[in-house]
Amino acid sequence: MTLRETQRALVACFRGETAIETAAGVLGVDPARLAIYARMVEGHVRQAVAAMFPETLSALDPSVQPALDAAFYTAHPPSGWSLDAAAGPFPAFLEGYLPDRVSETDAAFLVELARFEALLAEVALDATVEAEGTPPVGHGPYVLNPTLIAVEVEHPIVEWLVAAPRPATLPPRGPARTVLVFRHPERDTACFQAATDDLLFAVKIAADGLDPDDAARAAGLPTDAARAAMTNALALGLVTGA
Amino acid sequence: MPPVSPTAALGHGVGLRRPHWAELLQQPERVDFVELLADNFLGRGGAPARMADRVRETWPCVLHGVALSIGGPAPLDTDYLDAVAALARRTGARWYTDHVCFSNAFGVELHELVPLPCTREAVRHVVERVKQVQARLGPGLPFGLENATTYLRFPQDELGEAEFLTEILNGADCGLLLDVNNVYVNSVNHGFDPRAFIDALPLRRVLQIHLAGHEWVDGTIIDTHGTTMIPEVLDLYAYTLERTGPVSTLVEWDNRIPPLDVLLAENDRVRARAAAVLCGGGAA
Ligand SMILES: [Fe+2]
Repeated sequence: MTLRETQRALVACFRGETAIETAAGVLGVDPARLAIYARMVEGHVRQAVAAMFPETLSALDPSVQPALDAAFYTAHPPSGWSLDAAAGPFPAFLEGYLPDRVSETDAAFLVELARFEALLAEVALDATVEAEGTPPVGHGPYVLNPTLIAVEVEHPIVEWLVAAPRPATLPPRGPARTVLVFRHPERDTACFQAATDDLLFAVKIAADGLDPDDAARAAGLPTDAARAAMTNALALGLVTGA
Repeated sequence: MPPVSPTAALGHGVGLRRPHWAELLQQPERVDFVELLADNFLGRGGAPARMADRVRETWPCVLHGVALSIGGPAPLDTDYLDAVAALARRTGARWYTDHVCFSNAFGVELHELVPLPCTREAVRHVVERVKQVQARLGPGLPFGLENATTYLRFPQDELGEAEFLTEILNGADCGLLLDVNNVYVNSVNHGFDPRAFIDALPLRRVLQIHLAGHEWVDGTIIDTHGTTMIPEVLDLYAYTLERTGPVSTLVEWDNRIPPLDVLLAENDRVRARAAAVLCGGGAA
């Protein structure tokens, strides 16, 4: 066999297009040893999904997961070296896979939760804000965290993630709500907060370079409330001191 | 006197893994150098980017990768290589290594070090591609290849593994990252003498040594990097050092990552053994 023929036979085996025994016969190798590679190749994708979507997987009925892992591996062969990219199509895959296997309510929640976890992973590792010369947003006493994004969700994702213990059933869709997602400026972890009026006020103060007291007076709020909002936003890492 | 690698030995280091980042920065003197798994840093901002900068300030470092697919059929990914080169500039890395294997073929990424048949065709293919890598990286970033763990042997093999590696390394004028544990694992799984294997390698090309733990699973040794190394691997390391002289030596631990102290104790165990060999009194 040429090198290319050998590689083609190996890849066909790892992709499940050829059974281990058949491929081992074609290649003239020990099927048990070939199976080690097949397991490891699939295992890398499973681990990448587990690393990026721990909450989604924890919310899934455990009986669903093995078949789901195998189906995802079959449906989405990774094409590039990045394991993050290998896990990336998982939320879209769930959208097609889950409706026949779990309730409509659960499927909708799990898909949105998976999308949210993918976003957290992206925010944690996004390299664009480190690009040299990225100007800080805000020119007043506070600077807006440059990684901050606001997303709309249809499920109480934040409430579910912070609940302890988690409710026995997954929540249904509710009114759309905004969640602030950002990377902590010191810890470098992805953080999220429900967008309360106080936090949005703090974001506006930082983004527009306002003095908190002036902003409070303009909005008809007590200055103490504005200062407390800024203190809280600073503690969360949503804004930093200029 | 044993030949010494032209890239000066860096001492004893560990593969830098995320659970240890903060703690190791508190006691940087415990290791002489670190190895970054390039694939965990490329294109990433946030914590990895910040850590890459801390590494540069703190230790000599080297880059190691698992995704080059030097034996693969597809053209080399020059974007990937350029990203590796950029990471090397950012961290001040002394060299960059990957494995003799393929990990990407026909549009499918395997994320695994899949062995190549030990044929002359594969030698020619890999040599040609190593030259492309060297040309792309330039002389400022030496490139080395690691002998991989291989659970398979192919019936069309024309060369033994040591001969296969030697022809590649000499043909491409390339450094060797000698994974002593991999030699041991392959020697047991395929039934050869690990010392004869070491003797057959072009040891003047050894750029770095890897050491790690392995485990038996269903009658095969699996290179898990998930435990301490066995005495036989440490003995083979000593045997190798007697023939190479000082070599930058790195402990890899990638699964079931232990507390930092356990990893550092393993590194100290290796350091002590190397000192015994190189400073007299040690014997394999
Ligand atoms: Fe290694």
